[in-house]
Amino acid sequence: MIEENNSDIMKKVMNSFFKVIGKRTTPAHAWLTLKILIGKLTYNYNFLNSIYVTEIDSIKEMEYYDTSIKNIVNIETDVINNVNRKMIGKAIQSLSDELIKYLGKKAGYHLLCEFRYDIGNEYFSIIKSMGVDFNLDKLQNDLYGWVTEENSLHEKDRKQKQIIEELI
Amino acid sequence: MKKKIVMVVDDNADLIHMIKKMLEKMTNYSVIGVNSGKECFKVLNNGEVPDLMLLDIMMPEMTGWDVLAKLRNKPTWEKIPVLFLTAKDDDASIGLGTLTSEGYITKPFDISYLKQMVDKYI
Repeated sequence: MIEENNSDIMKKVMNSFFKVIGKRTTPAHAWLTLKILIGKLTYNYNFLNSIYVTEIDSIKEMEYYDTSIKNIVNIETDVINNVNRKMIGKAIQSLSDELIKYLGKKAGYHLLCEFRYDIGNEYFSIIKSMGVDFNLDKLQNDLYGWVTEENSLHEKDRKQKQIIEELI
Repeated sequence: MKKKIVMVVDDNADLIHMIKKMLEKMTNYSVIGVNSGKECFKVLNNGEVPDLMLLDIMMPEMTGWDVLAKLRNKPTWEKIPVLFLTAKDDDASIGLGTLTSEGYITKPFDISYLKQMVDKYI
């Protein structure tokens, strides 16, 4: 597992959220969304005041797939690196919960899946170890559980057919 | 008393005309219409700041998403209440639009609901 400090993790998380939100609207709107989300959460997580979303003039021309998007946020590293890692995890969890609240289960699930893909397995494991649980399995089950049920019904049919064939 | 101003930003001139006609008939607001984000900022830069903005999303050159982001990035305009008025009705757009604006109304819309929302946020 890669060793990263809090500010590196937070940068990576924000950049990934920026990309997946920007893909659905525009980079400028993703900038606004992150600014609003951080603003909402600073009440509970004061240390988020040390995260500054990059000024809009520098991102307005960017496309969501632009690989030059590396630092959508500037972070006062001294502050963030001294915060308990579990608290950073709680802030990330709240950010995701807030997004799900507005997007709903279906759109939220797809956004979080893309986020997971964008951030990569190593970083996803790190944030998981910080207590972040996107509940992707539960969301998937809530949304697509019927597919699994249907599949298991088909499996039952297949087994019954097999038994009958064997008896014949 | 000065009438409150509603600005409609939409590339559909017929829709602007219809909203203007209906809202001015039903309320005491003055409605101005512009057909693009660029036009909207021309008016704003001339010092005419509306009391509320009805903003379409899918417009050529500058989308409603970008118009809103630009508004919220400037202290003079950041407090203008914005209601999205759009045909984009997917969950992600509705959710993200609701999070960043005062409200999200999908087309086709009910004029009395539009009036109710304008009254609420103006």
